[in-house]
Amino acid sequence: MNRAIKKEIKFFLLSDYEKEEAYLTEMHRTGWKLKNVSYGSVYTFEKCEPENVVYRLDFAQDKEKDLSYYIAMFGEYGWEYMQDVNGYSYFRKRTDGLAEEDTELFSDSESRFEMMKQIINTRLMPVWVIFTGILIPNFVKAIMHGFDHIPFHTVLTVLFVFLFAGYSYVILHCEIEFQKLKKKYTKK
Amino acid sequence: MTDKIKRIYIPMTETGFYILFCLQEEMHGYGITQKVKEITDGEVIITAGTMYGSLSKMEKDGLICFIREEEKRKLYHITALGKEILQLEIERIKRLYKNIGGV
Repeated sequence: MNRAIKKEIKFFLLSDYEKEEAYLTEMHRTGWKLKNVSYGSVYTFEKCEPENVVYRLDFAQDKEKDLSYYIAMFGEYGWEYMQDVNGYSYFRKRTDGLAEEDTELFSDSESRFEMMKQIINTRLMPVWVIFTGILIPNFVKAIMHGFDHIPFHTVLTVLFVFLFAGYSYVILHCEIEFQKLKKKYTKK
Repeated sequence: MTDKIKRIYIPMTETGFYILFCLQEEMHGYGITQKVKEITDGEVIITAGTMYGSLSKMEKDGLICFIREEEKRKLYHITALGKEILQLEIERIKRLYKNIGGV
């Protein structure tokens, strides 16, 4: 029997992993279990019985050197490893009858902050570097050339305006969301 | 011991303390979670991501070291530096306990 397949395209930025977890968990709860993620944002689901399965994403920069050990260790805690996308590891687990702490990857705030720190240092920093080192100078240059009626310069101007806007959005969004996450997990 | 390591680890988180405390014997991550759960009557639970992150951080900082692999599990043990940190933390906790009227 062929199972029904559904594909959805979603964009989750670096700071949106909890939203992605909630999205995948909700899909499974309504009878669509994740088959895989391709091209970073195409989610393929397979029809299934609605189940309470929680999805969690981990980001551990040093796991590459020993991925099989990493997967085996999470397996001991009941986590099924699915795949890696952009440095994030996708795990899932059935939650029926489980205590709340067994549905989480992290049991203290310090380790959540450590994961955020790794994402910021290895993923968000390069975005900042490209933005300040390449985009801002070229954006300024393009704007200055943009009004001299040479078509090629106009195309460049438009391109850099778009890139500048895109990068600004990504950086601003991530910085705000990471602040929210930090606040959420800071003890009151 | 470098002051930096001391500054990072003292005072310790409950998770960090129990991991280091358990590693006075050779153990692997999931084994530590089970032992800590047992000796704290289920009060302290260390989950997978927290355990993996803590072990790799402590290994990087030289508090624990990898001993050997056994059935896809990595066994770790406390180092001399780790023992020093653990001892400082134990003394700090004893002082706390003494000052609140314990023995």
